[in-house]
Amino acid sequence: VGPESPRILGTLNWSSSLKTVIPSLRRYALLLTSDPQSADDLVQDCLERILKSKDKYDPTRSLRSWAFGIMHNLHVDNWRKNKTKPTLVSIDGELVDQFKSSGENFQPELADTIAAFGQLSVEHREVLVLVAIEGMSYREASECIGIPPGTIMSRLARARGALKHILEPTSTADTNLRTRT
Amino acid sequence: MSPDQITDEQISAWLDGELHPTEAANIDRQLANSDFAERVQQMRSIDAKLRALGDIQFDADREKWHRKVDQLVDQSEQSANKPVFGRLANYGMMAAMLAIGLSLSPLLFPPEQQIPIEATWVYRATGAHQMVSVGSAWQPYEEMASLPGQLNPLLEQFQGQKALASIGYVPVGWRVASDGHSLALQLLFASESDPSSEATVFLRPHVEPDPQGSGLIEVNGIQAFYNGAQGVDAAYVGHDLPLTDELWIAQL
Repeated sequence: VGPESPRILGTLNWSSSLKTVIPSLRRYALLLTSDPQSADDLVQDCLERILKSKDKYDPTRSLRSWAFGIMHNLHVDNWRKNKTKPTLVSIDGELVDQFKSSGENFQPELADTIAAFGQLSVEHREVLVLVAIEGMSYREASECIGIPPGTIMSRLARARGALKHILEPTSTADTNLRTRT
Repeated sequence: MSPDQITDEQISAWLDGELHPTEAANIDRQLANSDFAERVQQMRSIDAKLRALGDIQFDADREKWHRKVDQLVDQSEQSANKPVFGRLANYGMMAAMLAIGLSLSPLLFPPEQQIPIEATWVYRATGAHQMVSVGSAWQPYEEMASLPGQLNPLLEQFQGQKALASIGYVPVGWRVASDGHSLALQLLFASESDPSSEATVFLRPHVEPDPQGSGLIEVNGIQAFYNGAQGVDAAYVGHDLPLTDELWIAQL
């Protein structure tokens, strides 16, 4: 259990624990949905689902990891409800603005990265958020989104390659992408 | 292994500290090669940008979100502190409605497929309601209509479907289940407003001395056992909790 899971007399203090993971959940939701309103709805649904399912929480597991898994499942449910996967969204200024307004430490040079991130597939965004941004292990990420660690590994490599292709389209290495055969 | 043989997948895993130590050691050695080092550096620079995204703290509207969490936690605790009888009675009322019209035995399975019940109230004695699927996955509910046999009359008599519909649950699938003593038809319901929220209902062939059939309903983690003869017979909370005396509730 990570530091985000304070306990009182052996029982998880849900209020303070959830407050510590909200910034990560909001960032994940925004990068998944590319839409501030949808992201807020997703976070709210996620919090409700967590509290509804809190009896099923395994205290040996990181609350953040568990919460991310629930958010992933809710996002997939939304796909199914709408009968379609979300289309790739070319991030406009709104998302960059959302990032700007969400933290005091926003760096202007990140605008290109955010815009590029929005052009990735949802699958690529997910693995990058979980591993490259949130620092989860492959196993932890695989538990969150329900795919094997080996798939996490290959998907991450493709996601990094795709991001590089968008950010540095003339990169020499990009034309020489090496994959395992 | 030469630098050209190292894949982007290996470099990616190496950056994450997830590469096998032997392969990682090989990458460490190849960093002396300037072309390879440049290739690695390009990927590192991408990761640095991603980490910078992670450094942005989503603390705007912090107070609003904290109030929301406090409110949701309060609601959750109030729900949990609701008297057991009250909670169960809510489901009991639904279960009583489910019991209406249940007369399943001759319709559900032909006589040759029925499994003798060795102990009618085995679940009452042991608290075990371990109904499990009998080697079958969920089948689309729509296909039930085209099934041969006499399942459709069974469903027509299943008045509980209306009770579930009244709280927004629609049937989405079915399969055969068993507790080792009897067979049952298990129906899967999903909430229209939240498809991931599921409820299952077991419809069992009736067993003596229960002339109306019996079943087990679960909604949002609350399970209630009912039988048609006595209205709601018993209920318990959760998947794994055994039936205990204090969780028995009176006939409604």
